[in-house]
Amino acid sequence: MLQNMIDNSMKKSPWIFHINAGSCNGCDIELVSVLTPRYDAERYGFKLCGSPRQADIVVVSGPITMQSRERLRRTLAQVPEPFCVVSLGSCPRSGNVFKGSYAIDGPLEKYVHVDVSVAGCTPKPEAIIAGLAQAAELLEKKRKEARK
Amino acid sequence: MTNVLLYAVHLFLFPGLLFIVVMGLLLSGIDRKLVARMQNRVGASILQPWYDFLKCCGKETIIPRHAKKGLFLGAPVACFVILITAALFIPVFGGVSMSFEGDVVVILYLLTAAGVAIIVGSAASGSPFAGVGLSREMVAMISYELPFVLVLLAVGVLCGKDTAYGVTFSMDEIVRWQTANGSALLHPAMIPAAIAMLFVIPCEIGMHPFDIAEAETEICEGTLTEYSGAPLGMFKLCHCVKMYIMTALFCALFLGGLSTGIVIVDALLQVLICIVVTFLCMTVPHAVCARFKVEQVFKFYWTFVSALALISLLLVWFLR
Amino acid sequence: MILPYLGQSFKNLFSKPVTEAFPVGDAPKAAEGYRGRLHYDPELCINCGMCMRVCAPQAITREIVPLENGDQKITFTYDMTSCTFCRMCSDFCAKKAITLTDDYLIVGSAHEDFLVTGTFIKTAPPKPKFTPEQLEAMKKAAAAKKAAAAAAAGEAEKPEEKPAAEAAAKGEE
Repeated sequence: MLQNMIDNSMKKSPWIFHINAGSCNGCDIELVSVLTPRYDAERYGFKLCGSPRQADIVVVSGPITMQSRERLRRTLAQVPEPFCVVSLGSCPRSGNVFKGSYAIDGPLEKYVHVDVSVAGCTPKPEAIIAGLAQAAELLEKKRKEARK
Repeated sequence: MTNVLLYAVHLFLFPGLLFIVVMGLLLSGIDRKLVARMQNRVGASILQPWYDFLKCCGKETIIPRHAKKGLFLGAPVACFVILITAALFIPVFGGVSMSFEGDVVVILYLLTAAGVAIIVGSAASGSPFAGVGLSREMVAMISYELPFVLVLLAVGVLCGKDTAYGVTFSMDEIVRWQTANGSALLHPAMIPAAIAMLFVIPCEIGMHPFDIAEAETEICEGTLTEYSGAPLGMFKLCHCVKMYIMTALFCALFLGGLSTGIVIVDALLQVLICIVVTFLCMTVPHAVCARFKVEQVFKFYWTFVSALALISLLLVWFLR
Repeated sequence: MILPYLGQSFKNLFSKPVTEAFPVGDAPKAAEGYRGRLHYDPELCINCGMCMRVCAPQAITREIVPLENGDQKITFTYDMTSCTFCRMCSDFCAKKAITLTDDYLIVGSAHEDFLVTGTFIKTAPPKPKFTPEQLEAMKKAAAAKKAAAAAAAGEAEKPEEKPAAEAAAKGEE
């Protein structure tokens, strides 16, 4: 029963950690606006936390630049299981307008399995909330699978 | 035999483990909800701290390579145990479960020890962010400790007039005096001390405007940087439990002696007063203020808050 | 005043929150002129390739499969995870086959969720009546006829020059 309660609370308190892998700051601003009174993701338990050790959902924005690549890899390695990766905007999935640049080493799929993608340049906060809610559902599923 | 059973009940049920955990989670949830409403949001459900704690228990616990494993995992448990012990000395309306001459000092020490446990845990994690966090935590402790001691002295002097030393450090004595002479808050000389205590509470707990040690946007959660999984949940639980202990301490020091004699009514009254105190001293500053800088906290507590507590102490000392 | 938001926060405590109910109900409508998910109408497309030329992030790919009867099966794929939603493709589309809708909920796990595709068959132009070899032969025949006529006209002061030229032109058609 306790295990079931833990499974259930998994999707009710997903803490977000945000990695900026060379983003233009557009997606970052929209992610923060998700926590503002108008969109208020906190009513579903979302919380922006400061350390990857406490994260459940890792949100990556920006094309993976050469400078951020190593930091991204190290940060992702520090997140405890189970966790979800959400790519924010077009950049992490494809490189967007920076595609083919010598300073880019994307896409994000090369480093980690992306669970949910939110497309848009930048996505609207509503789309980000929808994506994060999907990721929270996935968290519960992952925890159940890990238990088996 | 009955004595042992009574102690077990005290330790695990009524003022101990179960009661303070439930109360702490409740106060924390109400605080979050009220902050959200004051910021014009819907806010998380009142059960949110409970979900957070459960979720933390379900996560993987990572122990960093540079950490001292024993201290790193022992600190949260130690912190929790210390807080439960402290809760045993704090009177719920209608009585103290454990009391002896000088238990106010014990409470003071135990609350400091809980802070020290956090410092030890973060120091053992070996992270530079935790290092910054623990130095800030120390500054916060030095800041609130002076006005806290002054407030306790003021109450002790007020309630200990008739004792041999002219000052009392017994929780039982304080409650008894207030039952006989009315709550300490009704004495005009104690009002500055009560305000000072209201300022001490959020800093002691590390609530938002004074959470310099856990500034998540500046120093990656500071003292809790390396914690994950169950130990993190333990620290979050300690945070909630501290909320109850400090508010209950406020009740005992300034609003003692309101007992009606019926246990259920007294307990409900205690819960209600705890919620009101939480609202006044944690929710309002959280919703209204931005986080203070380190030196601002220090200056604020050693000038304004300490002055308030000192005024009270001097008034009580000379007017008796 | 030291705490300027104190009054406001107490007012908020007793007023209705401004939060949108979104993930529960329907998604709110986007602003006018919002550039959301792309819509592609293959019926209007003429395969000019202009959208591919103006697309900065190279989000548009085209696949041309030749069919047996000489037609071509043309598939345009617009990758929404690569798009910057700049509307250049829509502006440059001569036939208005590309429009940007106000659907902004572009969320999914699989890559296929983000692809907007459209296929149409470009029919081959009608075949000419004569093959190039036949035309060549006809040209030669016409030239020979002209030469013969010129030789005849040399004797009879070239009366049939014009009709011969007209015949040659007809042969070319």
